[in-house]
Amino acid sequence: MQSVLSKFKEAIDSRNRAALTEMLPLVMEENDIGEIFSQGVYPVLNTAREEFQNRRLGIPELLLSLDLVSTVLKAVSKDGDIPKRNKHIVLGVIEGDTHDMGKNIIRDLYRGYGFEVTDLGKNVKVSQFVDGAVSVNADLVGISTMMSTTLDRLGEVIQLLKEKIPGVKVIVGGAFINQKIADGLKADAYAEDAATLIETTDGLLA
Amino acid sequence: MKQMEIPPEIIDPQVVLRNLGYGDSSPSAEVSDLIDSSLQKARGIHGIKGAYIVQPITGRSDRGLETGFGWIDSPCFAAISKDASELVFGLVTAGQAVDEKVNQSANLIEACIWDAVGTVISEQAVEHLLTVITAETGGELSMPFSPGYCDWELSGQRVVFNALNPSVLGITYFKDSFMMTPQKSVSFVACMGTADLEKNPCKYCNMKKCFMRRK
Repeated sequence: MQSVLSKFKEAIDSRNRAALTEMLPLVMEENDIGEIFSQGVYPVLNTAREEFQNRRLGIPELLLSLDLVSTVLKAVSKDGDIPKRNKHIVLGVIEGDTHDMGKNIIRDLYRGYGFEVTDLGKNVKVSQFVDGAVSVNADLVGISTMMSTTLDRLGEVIQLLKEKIPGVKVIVGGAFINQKIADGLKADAYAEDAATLIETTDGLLA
Repeated sequence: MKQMEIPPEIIDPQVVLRNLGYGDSSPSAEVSDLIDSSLQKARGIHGIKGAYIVQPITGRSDRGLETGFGWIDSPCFAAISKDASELVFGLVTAGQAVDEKVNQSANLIEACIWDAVGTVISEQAVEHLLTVITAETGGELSMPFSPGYCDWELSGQRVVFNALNPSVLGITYFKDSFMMTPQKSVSFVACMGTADLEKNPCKYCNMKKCFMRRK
């Protein structure tokens, strides 16, 4: 007979909100929060990212999965502490750029995986970036831009962050950015896509 | 400068799906309904516009081209323009309505779909404009080449804005970064010449793994 946890996983995997709503109280009754995430939520999200990377799943389906995970997070947080990774990530799009779709997807992905996220928004000034990261003592700062004309500012933010928050990691991403540009900016990593971001982040914060 | 309204019928649903990450797969029924609904609304959108101007090449070297509106600093574009007699400067926008749809979406999924629809509108508006230019001028055109492509810095947008007043199309831009609003706007140049004109600038570009590379 199929276990409650298995049915719960299936509900997220098939992005079936009604089934998830039905299974959520049952899975919470039978499993602790750690099990719900390590054996339920994360394996399904990992599969969804892999399918997305292989173009077997579109961005909307990945977002639907994350939306269901957000429902789970809300439900379980009423019942106790959710299994956070105890890492605080600050995200934003640098000044001079208002393209924020990629950053918003990354924000939801990080939250789905239990990171604490502060979203500074788009067209964020250098000083706002630094102040925002310092105020929460960020473990990692993700800076996004689609515009090559903002690179100088991006470099400035990275330099100031390294001065003000010793040990902070910085990850950069955006359409024209590649590993070479990330290295030139002295970023700690280049966020190639949403599919591999969690592993890159875990590697940086290990 | 010639300007025109571009009909929303240019939107190809298959290209929207590709933009949303569907390779060989199809969206789920729930997502399909959302995409269909957005496409239906998009076909009623007004404000998709384009403008162009044809300009002689006034000087050239291996490093770039002098256009009368400013220097195009791109060895790659200089290479493909070797047989061109004139240049076309073009500008298109999907319009403010698309930005509003993205910003006013109820959730990130809807916003993402509208963002993809807007991207496709702007890309296909460029194709539409090139077709119109070919019909109106009778000249052969190369593929469009935009500031930020290949070896042409995004700051080269200044040259296109010198040639075409962006405010006429309702486009404003950030002074330093040249980021355009509405966000789904595209500026470009293309070479004009005869049938033996080199058409693909990507042939001369060293960014072999560029996701924009055209064959």
